[in-house]
Amino acid sequence: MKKNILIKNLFLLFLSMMSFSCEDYLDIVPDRTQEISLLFNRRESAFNALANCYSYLPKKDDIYASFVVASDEITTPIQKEPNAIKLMKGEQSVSSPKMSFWSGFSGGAYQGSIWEAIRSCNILIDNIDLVIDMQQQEKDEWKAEAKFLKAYYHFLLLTYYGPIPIVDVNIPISADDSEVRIEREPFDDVINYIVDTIDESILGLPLRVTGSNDLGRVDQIIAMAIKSRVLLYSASPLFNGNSEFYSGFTNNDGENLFNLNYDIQKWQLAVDATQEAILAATGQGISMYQYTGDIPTFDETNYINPFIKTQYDYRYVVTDPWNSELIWGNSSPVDSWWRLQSGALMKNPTASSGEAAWQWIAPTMRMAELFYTKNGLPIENDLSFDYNNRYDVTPIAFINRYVAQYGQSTAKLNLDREPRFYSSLTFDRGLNRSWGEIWNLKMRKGESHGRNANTGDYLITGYGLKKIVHPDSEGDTYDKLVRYPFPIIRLSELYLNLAEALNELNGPSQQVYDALNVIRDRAGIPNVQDSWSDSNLTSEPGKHTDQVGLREIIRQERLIELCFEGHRYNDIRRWKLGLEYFSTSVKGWSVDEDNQSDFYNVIDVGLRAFNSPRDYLHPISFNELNINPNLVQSPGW
Amino acid sequence: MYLYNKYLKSFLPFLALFFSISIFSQVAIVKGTVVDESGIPLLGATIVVEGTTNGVTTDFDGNYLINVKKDNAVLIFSYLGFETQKITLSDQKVVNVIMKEDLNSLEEVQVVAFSKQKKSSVIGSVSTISTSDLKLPSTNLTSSFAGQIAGMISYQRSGEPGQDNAEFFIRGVTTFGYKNDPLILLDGLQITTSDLARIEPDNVASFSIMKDATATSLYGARGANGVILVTTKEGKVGKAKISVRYESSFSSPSKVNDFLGAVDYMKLYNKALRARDQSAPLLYSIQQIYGTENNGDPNIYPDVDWFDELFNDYAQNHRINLNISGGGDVAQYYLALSHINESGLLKVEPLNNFNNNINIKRSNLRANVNVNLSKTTKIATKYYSLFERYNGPTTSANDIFGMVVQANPANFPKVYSPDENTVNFNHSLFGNKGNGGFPNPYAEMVKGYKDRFSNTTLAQFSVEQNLDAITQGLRLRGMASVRTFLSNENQRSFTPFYYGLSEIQTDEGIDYSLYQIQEGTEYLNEPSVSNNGNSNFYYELVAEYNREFNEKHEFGGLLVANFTEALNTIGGGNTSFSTLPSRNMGVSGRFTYNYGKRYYTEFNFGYNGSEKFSEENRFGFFPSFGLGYIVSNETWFEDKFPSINLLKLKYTYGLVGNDGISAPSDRFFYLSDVNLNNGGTGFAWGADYNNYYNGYFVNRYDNDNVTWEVAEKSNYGIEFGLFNKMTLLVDYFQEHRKNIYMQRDYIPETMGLTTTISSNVGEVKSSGVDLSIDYNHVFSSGLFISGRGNFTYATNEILVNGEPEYQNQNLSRIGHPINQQWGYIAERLFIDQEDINNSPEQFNGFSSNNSYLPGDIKYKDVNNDGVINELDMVPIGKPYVPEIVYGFGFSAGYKNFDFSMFMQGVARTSFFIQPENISPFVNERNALSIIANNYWSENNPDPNAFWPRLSTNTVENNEKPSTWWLRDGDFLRLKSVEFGYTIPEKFGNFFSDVSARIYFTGLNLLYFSKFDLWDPEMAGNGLGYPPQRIYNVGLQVKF
Repeated sequence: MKKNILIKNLFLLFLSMMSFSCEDYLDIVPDRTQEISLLFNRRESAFNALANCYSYLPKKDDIYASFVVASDEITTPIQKEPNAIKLMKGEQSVSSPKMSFWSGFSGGAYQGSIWEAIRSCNILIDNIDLVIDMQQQEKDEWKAEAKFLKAYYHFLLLTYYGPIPIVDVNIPISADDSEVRIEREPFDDVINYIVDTIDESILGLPLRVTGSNDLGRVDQIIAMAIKSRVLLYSASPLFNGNSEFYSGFTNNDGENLFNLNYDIQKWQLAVDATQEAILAATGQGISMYQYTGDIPTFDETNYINPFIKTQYDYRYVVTDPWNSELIWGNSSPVDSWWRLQSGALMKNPTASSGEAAWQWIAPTMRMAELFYTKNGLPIENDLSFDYNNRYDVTPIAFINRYVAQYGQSTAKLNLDREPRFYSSLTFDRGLNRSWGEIWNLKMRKGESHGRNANTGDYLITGYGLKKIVHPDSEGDTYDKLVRYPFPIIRLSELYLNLAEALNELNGPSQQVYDALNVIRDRAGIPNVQDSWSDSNLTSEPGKHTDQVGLREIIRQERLIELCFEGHRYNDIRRWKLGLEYFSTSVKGWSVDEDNQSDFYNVIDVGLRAFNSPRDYLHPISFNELNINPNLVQSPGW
Repeated sequence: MYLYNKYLKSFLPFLALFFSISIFSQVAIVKGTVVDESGIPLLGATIVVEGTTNGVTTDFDGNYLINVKKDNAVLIFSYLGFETQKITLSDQKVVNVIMKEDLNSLEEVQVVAFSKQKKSSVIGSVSTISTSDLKLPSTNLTSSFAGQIAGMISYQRSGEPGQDNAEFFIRGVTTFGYKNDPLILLDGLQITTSDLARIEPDNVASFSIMKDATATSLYGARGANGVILVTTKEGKVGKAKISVRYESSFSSPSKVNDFLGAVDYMKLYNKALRARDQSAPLLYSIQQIYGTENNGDPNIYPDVDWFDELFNDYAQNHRINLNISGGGDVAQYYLALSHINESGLLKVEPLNNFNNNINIKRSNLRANVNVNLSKTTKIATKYYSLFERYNGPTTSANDIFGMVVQANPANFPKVYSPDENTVNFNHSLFGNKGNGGFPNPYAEMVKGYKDRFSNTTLAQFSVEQNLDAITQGLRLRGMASVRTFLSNENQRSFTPFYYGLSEIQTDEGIDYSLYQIQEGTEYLNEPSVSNNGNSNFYYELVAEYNREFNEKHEFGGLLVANFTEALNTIGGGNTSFSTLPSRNMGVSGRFTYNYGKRYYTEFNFGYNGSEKFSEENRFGFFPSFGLGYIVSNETWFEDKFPSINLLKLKYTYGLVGNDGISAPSDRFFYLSDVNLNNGGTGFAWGADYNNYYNGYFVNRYDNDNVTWEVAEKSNYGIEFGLFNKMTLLVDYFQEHRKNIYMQRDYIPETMGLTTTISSNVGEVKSSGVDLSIDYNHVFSSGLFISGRGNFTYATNEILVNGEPEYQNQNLSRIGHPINQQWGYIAERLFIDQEDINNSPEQFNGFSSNNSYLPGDIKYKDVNNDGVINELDMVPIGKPYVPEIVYGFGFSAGYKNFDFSMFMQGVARTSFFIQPENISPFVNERNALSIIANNYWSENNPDPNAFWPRLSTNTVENNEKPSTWWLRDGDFLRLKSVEFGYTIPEKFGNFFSDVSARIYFTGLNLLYFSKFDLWDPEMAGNGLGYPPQRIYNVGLQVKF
């Protein structure tokens, strides 16, 4: 029996070795590892959760993330080609979609999937009540911010993908296959969801954010302004009764994803929302921007000339930080070499550094031709403008000394144009009011602003871009730039929305002209009736009195006023004009020529391709479709 | 009968003990002492009266006392490792026995998990390899595995000294989880592949691999991918035996790539320029080509064979190994010392005062000492220390080999000879041109050196207590081991001065002068230092019981408790998870029973816990069982088939686990991994954009359910022996690997997760055959001959993959092997523009700048959607890891001469030539001769030419993985040939007992393969450091 006990003891020894607290032996992770719930302990850490919601806002000032680059407005020979350019060249693909808000993309800055943004907003809404050191009112405001952002993010996706799934509540991680396979909702349902969610958020948002620490955060005015854009888009030809493109666009169960009947009442909704937004905005002191800064000595005497003054007004409308016209700007500007501003900045000819400015981003010939003449008319309609010989070189007359170099020669196209032309573009033998001086621009090959080296750092069209470059941004080193919140929405757009929606709803009216003239007044051009009524001046007198004619006028006004701000890609698509604008090569001067006559030849400088109707909506990656068979691909892809 | 049933019922041998002890009768008493040949009493020797269950064992002093019922009884004395003796009693009352060591029985003992077993009783699938077969003149033990071991898939992709570990998998790759290579144990302690590679085969007592469930399930947590068990030699009682072995070898690449000379290069480059742009200005002028053709000034007309400039033809290596063993009754020792000096092929710049060639000096010391503390208590220590000094280039030698292809022969010499302006400079004028930036492999190679020392120490202490006093056949053993590794590395390099050559037009003609492109340093820059270290601890406690009753019933029992901990892998990243230790603990057991040496059963289990899993899923239970039947031990069999000396049938089935399912930084699956201060998702508000807050980022979502990967293994084996000369072992195995931790691609983007979700979803089914055959024959003339062969076939198929439900079935991995490769089907080269116009658009070729032309590769539109894109990829070729590895060889000896050779091959494997690595002229890259010999051109519009239309730019269309670049990786090589001569003893008369053998070995002398660009074993790594062909001479002396 003694032996028996020994054997027992042997077993006990083994067992005790095992049980000498297995948990202790195998529990080796120290406590307090990081979990999301820790964010919502305190207000200070909850800011990280709020910042996370905002961080997905598109980086419009990032050459690799911006849809400013994705159009026929500008082009670039930069060696590391932006995906937006590839997109426009027809290199979009289902295997790796470019500029995909659906999947996220990397470029200069990282752009996470907008679906992550929506999840982040829902996480904040679900958890913000847990924070200990916050008042209920502040919690409600944050919740309303997140709610608005959620709606805005849905709208971003809708802009590029049309009908999309709605994620109002996060699906849990543990959900099984069938729960995560959500499908696209009909376009109108998504619009209703977005509008309802914005309306809800307005109830909780502060009227107007003015605190110097808080600028850039969402308020009621912003929400109302965005709602105007949402409803304008929803009434637009691409999305409103577009049976031409989308009659076969259905979910797997046959449900139509677009309403195939045109509904004119959608314009009414847009009109109402826009009028409401304008009223609220102007009520908060938001107004069309006028330059109020110091007048540089070189313009002290000229400034009384309205032609000069209005140039200043438009020159600063984007770049003057937090100006009176800005409704919502991105308060987290990109701060690296890949920002648009450093790619557009003109070289300071006296700077010694080779890093002066990249000069990558060049407006296309189409943009140079888009601006009105000084009479407020399109160049092809202004009888005083030598349209047919516009590429011919002509000496610069004394009268043009404020916009170009008197005594030199340039193309006729560059002379006798509206002030916004001179505020937006630089051209050979033109002037650049910058760095506290007026610079004489010389942009042919080998000249101070021309192509000097065999690199990708040159303006491939022979035009440069002023509008998004602050005049005080210096060219010595690339980072001496004045930062500004890139506009997401500004007051001008609301007037243009109003003009467009009213004309579509009821045709020409004084109300439409008034809305347009707010824009034209500030631009320093005659009002729309005056310009278009004078048969001595225009080749199409009375065009503004006809709905179709006025539609063209409104569209051109919008393309000019909002140029280089990331609107064109969306506007052209929602007007169903993709083939017209996006399918032909972009053009420029022959910048690889040094003598004048060779330089002023228009050549192709970049391919553009557009496949209609395929390219109106972005593709969903085929991997995503494999994962979620309930999702249907965008038509044509 | 009563007793027999009882035994069967009481499976636990511990209980069975009581029966044996309570049996005795009262007729006559016989007593005596059992000792071995040197007179040491044997404890636990078994004495049984033949034909009965009556038996006893000896005590501490070797004494026994047994009751014998009748006269003329026969006593059977047995002891493991000794010859069994039968003594017929007349009327003696004292029988003292001297047991003789059973020389055969040394062979008969098989190393198994945590123990040793008689070979005949092993049912599990275990391959044991003779250490002499691993003794190749290579400094890397792993390089000798291929084809030597039934059940092991092995191949070696690189020959770079110090970086030449072979890849090896037991029964192939059976999981696509994180860890798919076997557990390696040296004397019970887990070691790394690199440790294994450095083991001296001279010191190895046994080398076994465990393949099936019963052989590995005791290792529970870690055994799923098979186990390699290496035990080192121990001392034996006797006078000191000394063995010295010295080898010296020459190694050179098994095959060298052939590149174009400068003249051909320049001509073809110009052609390539014009091949895509008829108006392109030529890069190389007629004068340049003419000057080179006429061997002009090498500064101006260089013609560089980079391979020759960089590498010597051969490298020389030396190895010496000394071991001494012996001992007395109290202590036995085995001591070994060895030193290896291995060098690489790299040349050294005469202007440098340091050596950038690879030079490895490796010394190791082993001391295994066993001490008999008392008659029942043994302690043993094993100590091993490896000290290594490595000197080599700052850029890895493998990369330098690769760079040969980056620099062409015509651009510049490796160094310019100085002109009058530069003649007094104290630095080398490394060649380059233009604004610089062209790779100069020579400068990269000689610009610095790396100096590393490292030390690996293994120390082990064990105690074994015989507990026969408690019950016969019971032993208890405890062991503690530690392994530490430390290394320190310094890299020093200078910045090379690059020069170019400029042409100056003078009145007399063209004058040339050197100009400096890049300012370098004439001194070595600050060194960059890196340290690395880690430690493993291992403890085990083993109780073992073995006993035979009545010569019919044999019981064995084993119970093991073990703990493992691995600490602080400094070099393994620094995330909060990867810096925590990893731990594992478990209890394992084995119970064996056999009846009449014919019927065998075995049950094993492992019960293991791992720190990686949540509390609910932390422990895994892995049982297995086996059945064996030795038919040849049946008496009827021996009568009927006298020539068949062995026929054994085996079957095993069981589960084995694997907790190495993810990288160390991705453990603790029950925790989420969130960065609460993530800069990438931050945002600023405020007038000055200064009110900035970071965001957060989820790197991993928590998942409590993640648990063990489990292998369900079954094995059918047969062992067959003929005429006592030939042995054939065949195993057929099946494995079903479940719970493979993998990414689940079922979460769409619309979920908004920042990372993917992984869980235990993957499943793989594997099967295969491994067999080995041995033949030995000694002719009466004294000629002996032996042959052997091994064959392993292992294939697998993915059953469940966390992939989406593909609409294009060709993209699914399900039903394909783990290492299956995907690619496009290349039909041929485009014939003309019309052919292109009539074919589907390839990779957006029409809209992009990378459009393709006639002579570029035309792909098949598999899904017929009118475009070629990823959807058209299909599984092509065989898996990257070979499915068949085999080897065969023979040795023969006559008088003092011996000769042996061994062939080794792999089959059922394919690989891609990487066109992006060898496509000539892109960035003025070098050109392989084979491309120049067979490329598409307007003059040679062969739609099946080896190389498509030439280009000086990347043509993406031609660089896709496709059947065009797929090659058959099968090969058969003459792995080794050895010729030896044993010096007759009379030569060594002045020493007594001296034997000496001198031998010559050749390694990797020949190979046969359909692929002829480079050594096929390198597969896709064709431009790396090639496997080495080695000529070796060795001398072994034993005292």
